[in-house]
Amino acid sequence: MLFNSVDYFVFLIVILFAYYKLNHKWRWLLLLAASYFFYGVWKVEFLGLILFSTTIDYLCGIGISQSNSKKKRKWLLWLSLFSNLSILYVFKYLDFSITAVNDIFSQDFVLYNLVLPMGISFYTFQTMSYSIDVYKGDIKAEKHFGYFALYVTFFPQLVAGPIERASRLLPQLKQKVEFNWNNISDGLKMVLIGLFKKVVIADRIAQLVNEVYNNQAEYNGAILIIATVGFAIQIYCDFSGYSDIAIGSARMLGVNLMDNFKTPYFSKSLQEFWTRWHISLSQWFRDYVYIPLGGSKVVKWRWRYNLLITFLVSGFWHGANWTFIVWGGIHGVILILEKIKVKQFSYRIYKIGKMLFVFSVVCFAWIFFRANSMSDAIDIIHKMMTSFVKNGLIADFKSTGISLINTIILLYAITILFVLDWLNFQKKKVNNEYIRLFGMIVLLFSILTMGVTEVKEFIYFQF
Amino acid sequence: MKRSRKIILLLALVLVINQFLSYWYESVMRESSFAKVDETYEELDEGEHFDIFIMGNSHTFALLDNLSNSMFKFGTTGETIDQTYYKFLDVIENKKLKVDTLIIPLDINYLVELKMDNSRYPFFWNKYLSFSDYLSESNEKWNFVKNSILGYVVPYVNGSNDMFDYYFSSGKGNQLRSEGNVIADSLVDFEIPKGELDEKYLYFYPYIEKINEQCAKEGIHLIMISFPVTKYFYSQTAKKMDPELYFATIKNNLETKGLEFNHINLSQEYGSEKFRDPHHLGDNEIRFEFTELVKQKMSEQKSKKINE
Repeated sequence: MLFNSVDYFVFLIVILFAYYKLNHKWRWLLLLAASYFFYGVWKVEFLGLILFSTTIDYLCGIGISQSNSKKKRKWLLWLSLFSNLSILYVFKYLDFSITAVNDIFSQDFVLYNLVLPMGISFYTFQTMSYSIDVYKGDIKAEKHFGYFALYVTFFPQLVAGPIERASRLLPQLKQKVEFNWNNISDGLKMVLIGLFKKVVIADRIAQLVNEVYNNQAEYNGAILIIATVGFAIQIYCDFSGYSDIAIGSARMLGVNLMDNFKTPYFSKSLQEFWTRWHISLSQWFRDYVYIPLGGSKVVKWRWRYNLLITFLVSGFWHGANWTFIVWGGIHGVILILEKIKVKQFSYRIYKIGKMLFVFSVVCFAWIFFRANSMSDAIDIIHKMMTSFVKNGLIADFKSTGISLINTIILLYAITILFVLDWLNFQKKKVNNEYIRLFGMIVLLFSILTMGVTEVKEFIYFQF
Repeated sequence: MKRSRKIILLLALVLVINQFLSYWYESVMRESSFAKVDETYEELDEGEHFDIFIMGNSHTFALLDNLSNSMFKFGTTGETIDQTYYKFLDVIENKKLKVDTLIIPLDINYLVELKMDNSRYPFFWNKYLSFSDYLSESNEKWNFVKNSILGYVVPYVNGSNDMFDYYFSSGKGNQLRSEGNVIADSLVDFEIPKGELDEKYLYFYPYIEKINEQCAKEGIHLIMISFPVTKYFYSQTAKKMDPELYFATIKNNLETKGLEFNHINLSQEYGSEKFRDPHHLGDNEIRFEFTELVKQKMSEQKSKKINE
């Protein structure tokens, strides 16, 4: 079930109504059943995978917490990690490995072409973090299987995060929540903002991006640059829109999920960018990859190596394709270069310049992230630098087939997005209730009149 | 502001704006070419006679009144063949019109697989469809029901394109949607694929048979016209099909069942300079010329039939 469908809102209303009517004792069961239904509507057979992962991690967690033997505890942790990573490997990376073997050793092994279970990278990472935290003694193992299963499958964040830690989410799921209008209105506001980003901006700008990136040979530098900036906006609106709807839906159920995006394109350094973009994943890699490798408390070369490895793994997490690995590598290398100290100025223009520079670097990396292949990405960069326009900028833009109305709607919507993000970035709050009410109405009717009604999947569902 | 007052104010505002937008949208759509034809159709007398009756999508707007002294144009923007079929049933069963010749388009995307989910103008189409019949044929039943309800509650959903067309496009008085981008033929690097035909392009083929059978039953002469489109439109639409094979397959299927295939293919008759958007001919002058051409082709087809 997709967040941007009418079905989801019918589902959410029914669940909210039942949730607040039901005795607290049984609410976990309602949410668990709802979460399995939410996922099963897409492909019921993949529920087995979630159940398998849940059961293994539940048993390993209990085993780790009850055992005094260091060896056994370690063995159980490896069992948990191995089973999760095996699932991930088979469904996500097996064909990539076979292709690599075929290419390197000139073999012809058959690919399996398995369907990637939606959200597999998210829920396996979430459960792995649980096992590691129990092993490290940071949290106690959850004894109630139902609550643990709910932690793994809680529907607002099941398929694309935020990747929550058990220490944050489990206590909230157990806590008795009273109906509260503030939760409903705050949640609704987040849902509206998320929907606006997804259906008005991301799905509409996708028409331009897909046309250009899928037929990149037909376009010259200027249009490729516009499409790349378009993709930067699309992926931000798509993913942060998803996160907003997830956070908003959970808020209505009285659960506070962590922030996943904090106006990342206003970052003045790449390091700052990664504290604002996909925060839950960045923190996961920091805590479970970067720090175990030694983090920054090692010699310089090793520290840089740790940083690069973390970003390469992050790229590989996004997809079994060299383009994602290069994307991660670019971020890693630029972050290392950023550590070289240069004199910092405090002029506003200098800060704006830095924001633009970081945005340009991020856009450059997005080329690899979005391109259909490495050769496409290289071709795109080559054209950006060598041939700017074909028949004039306007004629080239027209040739993408994007109509005037689409362009006007996009300009309108991106302006609203910019204002909302700028207010957030400046930590300014609108206190006037009438203005807030007006804002909600503008968002609601923008979604209804200008939203792309064809329900499209979120980009991060494929990861 | 008290919470209860805030909720009441919000709901009241949403309801009022929704009512206003619904009313505005529907009144604009009624004024637009889209529904004008529908009103004109409603005014027809039961059992009225027409030499030529034109149905189908906006490509049929290329035909002007010089085609016949007794003709009716019942085509609408974005109409798909399944909708045409149900409208046609209304023509012969409810209005009981007497028609000599029925013209429908046979474009390269007219039979292509689409979701029958009633998402386009449900508030408009519902009156021509037997809801249960259409629902039983639908390949998207749940979405069909959902969109039908939405069509009544918020008819203007994603209506920005229609509004824009109406207020800002040159199509306001010409039964055409907005002016799009006409890419010069010289800039389109496209060759028509040979010997390829994806089955999805024939998804709605059964409706051609249904219309054909109804015509045979009523003694109506059915003509299918492939209307002019630009090379750019072809390149965007027909990447995985060979139009010649497409037409030949339809012809073969119909003739196997003993049904007629009267086809006039004018899809590549004009260069891009004659178009106002990639698949609609330009001003009245060219459309007048096109109509004369169709008249001539129809007359040639008729004499050929007589000679046979």
